[in-house]
Amino acid sequence: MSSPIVCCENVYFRYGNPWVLEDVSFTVPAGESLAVIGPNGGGKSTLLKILLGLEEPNRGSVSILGETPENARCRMGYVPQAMRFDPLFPITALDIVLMGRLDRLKFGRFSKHCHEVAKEALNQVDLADRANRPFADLSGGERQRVMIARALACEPELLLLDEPTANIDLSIEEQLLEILEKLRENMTILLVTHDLDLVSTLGDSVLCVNHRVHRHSLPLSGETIREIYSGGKRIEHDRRARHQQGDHSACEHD
Amino acid sequence: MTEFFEAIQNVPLIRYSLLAGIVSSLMFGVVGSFVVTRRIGYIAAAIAHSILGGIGAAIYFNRVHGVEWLTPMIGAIAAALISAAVIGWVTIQFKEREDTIIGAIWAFGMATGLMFIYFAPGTQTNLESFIMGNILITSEKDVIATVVLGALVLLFVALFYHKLVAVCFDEEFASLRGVSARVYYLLLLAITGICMVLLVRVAGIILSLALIVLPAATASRFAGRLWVIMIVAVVLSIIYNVGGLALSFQMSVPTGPLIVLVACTVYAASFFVKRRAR
Repeated sequence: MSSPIVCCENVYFRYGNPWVLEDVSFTVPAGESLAVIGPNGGGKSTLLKILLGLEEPNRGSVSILGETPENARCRMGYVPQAMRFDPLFPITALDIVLMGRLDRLKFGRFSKHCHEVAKEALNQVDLADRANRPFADLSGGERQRVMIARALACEPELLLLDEPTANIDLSIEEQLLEILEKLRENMTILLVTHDLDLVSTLGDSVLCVNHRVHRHSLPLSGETIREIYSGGKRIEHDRRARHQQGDHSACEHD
Repeated sequence: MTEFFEAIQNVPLIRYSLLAGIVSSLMFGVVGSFVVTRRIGYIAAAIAHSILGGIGAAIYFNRVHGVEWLTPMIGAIAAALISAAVIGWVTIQFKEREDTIIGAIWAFGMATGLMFIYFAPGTQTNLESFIMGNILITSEKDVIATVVLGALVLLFVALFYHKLVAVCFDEEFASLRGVSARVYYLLLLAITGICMVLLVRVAGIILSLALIVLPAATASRFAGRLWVIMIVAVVLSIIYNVGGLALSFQMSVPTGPLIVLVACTVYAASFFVKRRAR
């Protein structure tokens, strides 16, 4: 058996006093898609930051592709939430995707090869015709797909996504699901999400993070879901159910 | 206008001013585009105000301790770089509120400058030229200094354009791709500081902010890519600086305020022109 792509062993992490993550251990074998779920403030984003090498665990060890996270960075593709960005920033879709090749650029211009890889990445998310459009002109779904293309331009062995369907219309979400399902066939994916649809379509297994972690098999039972999101926190599943019943009070539209 | 062209031919001072104006316009357009898109206009303003501290210190040490080499220009550049470093370092290191640091540096620089100038013996220093600006004090030495600084800044931006853009757009991702985001951010603040020194010469401390922000802001209303904004901003800067010089010479009014008024009018007018097609 080949060694796992992600291996976390007894990881502890805190910013201040209380532990954000306690005794976190899990592995992700090659080719698997792992969905990471859990309540807000449960440590999902922190876990992602540790895997990316942006934060150091206080205790425990993390290895990615057999290396430290920092050394493995260039072999990972990271997709942050598209809504985080300044929509007025003057930049085209292609320019953003080219950022995925920054580690191969010392100075000056990107090589022809880098341009080809970036265009191919845009093609993979069906945005080839939007390459020279300014970021500001793209829709929410298109912006999120640009972020995925940028991660693909890294030619990653491991793809990390942070809530790719947050703030996105349901119809666009289906498109996104299709793209991710295709990607899943040839790379290892770790996906942080609130979206239980996404979990059931994409996840091979589920990691629930609420300071400690639990692994669940799919499909999740209603009981498990309630357990995971205990404490009356509004969850995506709830929003979705209401949305489908025509109640849009919980929806966030642009 | 003929009088202005005659003056260019006959008065070296006007020639120098013109050359310095064109070279610094290149910088203002390019660096101003970063300032506007990265939204660090107020950092630029704080640096501009802190420059008075450097000018004051230079005058004081020059007169009291006879430090000949310490000209107001060198003092200004040192102050600008120190303020840029402090603002950058404190915001990165201590996660302190940016606007608080900006306010502190802003006032600290002004206060130090006023204090040094108060204690400096000799003829009363003409504060007005620093505060209101006067492009017509350019000497040959200053022109050389401007050209060298301009060349350095433009070369830096040309070489590392993509990294600077990436750091401005998404610091986190840039550092994941092996770009030291903090270093580039500090360097961006440093070149902004150098620009502010040159701008203070043209328009003075108070008006300098308008000249780094307005050309790029006007350009960004119509252009969708940063390098396009830069080109338009450079052209606008040259028109403002050179046109302002000619016009103020012709009408014998102060250059700085005239340039700023023109820049503001063009920016305001840009709101009545349709934005680029969506």
